[in-house]
Amino acid sequence: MSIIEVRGLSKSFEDRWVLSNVNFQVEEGDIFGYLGPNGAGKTTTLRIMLGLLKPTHGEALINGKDMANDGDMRKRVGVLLEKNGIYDRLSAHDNLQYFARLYGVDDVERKITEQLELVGLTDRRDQKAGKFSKGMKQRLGLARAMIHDPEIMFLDEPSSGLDPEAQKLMRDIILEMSKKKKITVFLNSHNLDEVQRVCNRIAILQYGTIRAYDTVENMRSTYSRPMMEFTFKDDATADRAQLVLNALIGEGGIFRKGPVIEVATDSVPPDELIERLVQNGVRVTEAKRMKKSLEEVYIDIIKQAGWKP
Amino acid sequence: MNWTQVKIVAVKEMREITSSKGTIISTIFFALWFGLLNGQSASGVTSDSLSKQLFFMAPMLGALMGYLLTGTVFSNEKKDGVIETLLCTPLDLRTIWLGKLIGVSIVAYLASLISITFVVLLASMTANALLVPSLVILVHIAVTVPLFTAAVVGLIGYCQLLLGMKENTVIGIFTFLGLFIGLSVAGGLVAGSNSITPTMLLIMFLVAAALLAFTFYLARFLSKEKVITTIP
Repeated sequence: MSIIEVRGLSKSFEDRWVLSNVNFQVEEGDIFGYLGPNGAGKTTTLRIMLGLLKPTHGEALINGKDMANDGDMRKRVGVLLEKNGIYDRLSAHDNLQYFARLYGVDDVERKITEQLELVGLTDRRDQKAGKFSKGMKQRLGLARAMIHDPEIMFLDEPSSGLDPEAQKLMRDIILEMSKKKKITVFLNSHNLDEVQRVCNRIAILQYGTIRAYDTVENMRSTYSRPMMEFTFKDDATADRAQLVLNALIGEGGIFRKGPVIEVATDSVPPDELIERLVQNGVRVTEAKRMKKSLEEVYIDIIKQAGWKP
Repeated sequence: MNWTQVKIVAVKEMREITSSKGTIISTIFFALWFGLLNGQSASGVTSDSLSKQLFFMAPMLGALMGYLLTGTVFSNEKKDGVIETLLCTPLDLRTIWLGKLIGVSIVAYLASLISITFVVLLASMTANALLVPSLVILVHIAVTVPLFTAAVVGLIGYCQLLLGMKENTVIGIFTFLGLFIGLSVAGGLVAGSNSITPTMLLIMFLVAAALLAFTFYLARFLSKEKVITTIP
């Protein structure tokens, strides 16, 4: 069942079009990655979905409703935006207490204790948020976003500016809330490694239009040339293997790195390659299918539209 | 309008302002400084002249304190981007605006009372006797001054929510100058005026109420899109 539906969404500011006919759906329980270079229109899409901006054309519905006109729907949604929504002059406790009251949370103190424990900030409960590191503020922002047990979470660059350890903690929390609490997550991110690790479905936005939209695995398969990686005992064995493979598929589909050979399998299936190697007395130590990483797929897709880093 | 939400926002604003030592110290400093600048220290000061002075000065002090504190609430929240998160909660923009207006106005009004008390004490010291403003003026301070303070906070808050930082800087400079000049003019009006009558009090009350009503009318035109697109 689709929990987020974006249909024919377009947005212009004066004469400048930022989004043009954007369409996608997010299913219940998905962790959906929304990717794109700076200025692609990701934040504008997010702001329209959250009811902060009005679309010029089209619609963005959450559970079939427009968040701009539905205060009750906003109670079911949690947000952690790029600026984490934390008051520096209030303590961690008072920040959470304020938002818990705004959302009408029952048993506020129990909920605050629970959330601070989840993000590892129990011992910082009474410290002012202004004294927190960037990572701690992001974690407090996440606790704030979850204080009312939302069904859907919108996260905008949650790991931006965090050290690797804090990034991992953020990923773990996102995965945990998705699995244990069955929360649907919409993740706006530049961090492709993070998206590959946590998201099951993604859309890539560029120049205000969707360039690709699929599950992470399908996208990696679709945009990858099918390849196998063979590892041999030593260089001498790899030399013999290379002769066999050259005869079979030609030099253009073979890439050698010492005792490791990568082979394109679009013309000859992998099982036939292994069979031929064995027939020629070449022992294969390890063989595995290769796929492009999400980062490589992403770069390929946005390069097609003339993007330059 | 959900009054429970308005109250939550107002209480939070008061807590945030009063939890900042810097804000408290600067507010008290300005309250005493404005009181010192405009208080009567000339010989011959009487309860009557003090009352006449406070009639104009008290609303100006309330407005000035409101102006000083509004920036720490509306403008900072926009600069920090917290307003965007707040707009994603069940609160509508008018509730946020009203909650902030009430929270800031209460603190600004209390600060103006400190300033007014200082003016009274200064005049009493000069006169070598405890001077007490007339009952009419005390009613004026209790009723009209908070309305006037709230109207100024509401108007400045409205501008800070809807306009960009540059426009607000310009408006802020002119507002400060206007209030500062207003305070000086208020001092000058004392010399030529007759005693304060209940009619004058009523007119001043109606002006403050009309100004506040105007800010509420303006608040109908608050738009999330305007707020979001002017975040720096």
